[in-house]
Amino acid sequence: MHRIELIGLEKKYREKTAVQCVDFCFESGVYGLLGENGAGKTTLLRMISGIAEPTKGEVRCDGIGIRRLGKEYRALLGYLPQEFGYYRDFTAVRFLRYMAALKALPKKRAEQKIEELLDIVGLAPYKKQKLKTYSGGMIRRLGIAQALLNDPEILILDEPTAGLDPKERVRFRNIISSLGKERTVLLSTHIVSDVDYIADQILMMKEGKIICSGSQEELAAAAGQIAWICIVPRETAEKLSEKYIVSNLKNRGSEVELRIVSDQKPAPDAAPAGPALEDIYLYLTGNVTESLCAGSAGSMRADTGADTGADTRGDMSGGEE
Amino acid sequence: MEKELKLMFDQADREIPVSGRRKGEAKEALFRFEARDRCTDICGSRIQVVQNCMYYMDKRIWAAGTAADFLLAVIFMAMRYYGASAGDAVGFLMPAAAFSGAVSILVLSGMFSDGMAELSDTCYFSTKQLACMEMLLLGAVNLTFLLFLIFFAGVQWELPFVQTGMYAGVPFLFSTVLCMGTLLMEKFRNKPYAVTAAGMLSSAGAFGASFVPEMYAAYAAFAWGAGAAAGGIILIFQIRLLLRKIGKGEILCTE
Repeated sequence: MHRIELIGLEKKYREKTAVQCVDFCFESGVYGLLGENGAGKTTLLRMISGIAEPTKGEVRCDGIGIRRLGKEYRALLGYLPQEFGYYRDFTAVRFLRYMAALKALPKKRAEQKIEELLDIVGLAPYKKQKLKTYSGGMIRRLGIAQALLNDPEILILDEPTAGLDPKERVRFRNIISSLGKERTVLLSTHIVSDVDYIADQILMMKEGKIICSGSQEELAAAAGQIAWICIVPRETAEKLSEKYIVSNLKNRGSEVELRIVSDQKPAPDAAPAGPALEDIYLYLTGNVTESLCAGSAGSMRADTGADTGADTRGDMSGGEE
Repeated sequence: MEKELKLMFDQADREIPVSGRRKGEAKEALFRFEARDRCTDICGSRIQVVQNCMYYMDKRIWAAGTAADFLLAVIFMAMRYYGASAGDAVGFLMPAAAFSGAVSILVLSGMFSDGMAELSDTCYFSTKQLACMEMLLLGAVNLTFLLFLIFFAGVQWELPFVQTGMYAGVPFLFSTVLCMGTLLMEKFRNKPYAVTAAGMLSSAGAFGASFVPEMYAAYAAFAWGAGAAAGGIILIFQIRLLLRKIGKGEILCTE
């Protein structure tokens, strides 16, 4: 088990700051990194993988900078990038053999591992077909297979379920859940249901910062009452949709059932509902509140920076200050 | 009793100075020791790793580049066979050298345009190390090719080696610098057609220059020397810049 520490991590590209002053610590388990497109998830994962050099700060593994560790750190890693490059004229077997060679695995062990992984990801029947004949979902599964070739202790998956159908998503979730027991798995996505089931800890990113972190229960407890169900006429529904965040809308004849995300009761007859992760995500990415993100210090603290002028540490386990 | 023991330990912690630097070094040594223990399954030597990578890698672009150099060499030999003059030989030598330079940068750009660079940066060799190995190999191939052209021209057409070396080396450097500059530009990153266009432009430029009589005058020697020196210095600077960009991760990702 390895401890990955992010210390004052920042990444700037000319005028844009992709990741701002992130402090965090990962230990074993599955971490879901949730955020909209452009939140900085990919940049953060690239820095943790050692691909992108931070503008400020450092990533440490067991107290040692990863740049210093070099190939010893890379030997622990399994990485699946968001834009997964591959040679279109390679077969799956040849591609995995090439990746095994790049990861310095001996041939015999590589062959065994390749057969095993192709079975796990369901590509064994297609292993001799060229990758240009593969669907997007199959390519993604191949990407997961190559990430697992060297039995990594730190697995970094950037949008791994992109292009997967629901059945493949379920299969993928089961694979990741089983892996997370003995490893550190960092999984980024903008699809809430991907992390809903499998992540032990959830980190929410917005505009380059980790705005909140904690288990789903902790996030729900700290969020308080933010989800409401109301059944209203269509005209009222339109007005409410303009004023509030609506996470679900269901037509019921002449009326509409709305699931609204708000810290205030949106309508007199709105019934309170337990906040789902999606509700919390929508609430935070749509409207950050200081009260929601204030929390006590601890190993799960996330520094949100000084843009609100208040202490907005994102630990949702310890309650408000 | 426990409280007393704890106090004794706390006091000892305060009194024994621990060097932060030595602590860090010890931690790192322990990590590497553990990693070595963990990595017993990794291939025995670096050479073996390189051999495996070369065995399974996509070699088509390398094969095309080497075939292009080989074809140029064959054409050059055929020119001698069919009685071409020294002037014709030099007229061929300059664009051929420029073309060879462009092809080698095109081969190098394949590392970044296929989308594999990001993934391979998390493997045993970093992309920086792989790029260095590739540039060394390309350099060896190009040097062999250029030396062949120079010595063949020198022997068959009795041209001075140094002079012929300049006629081959300067266009080669000029073409390499132009194509490398294109590769380093963010706008054309991951776009092999841009490097190809730069290569064609430089080859055409070298071909056009070969018809200029002043290029072969004695007083042009200084210009040739200055061109070679400038080309070499700029190329070194570009290689350093490329490696720096790879180290930062800028050139590795497709977006």
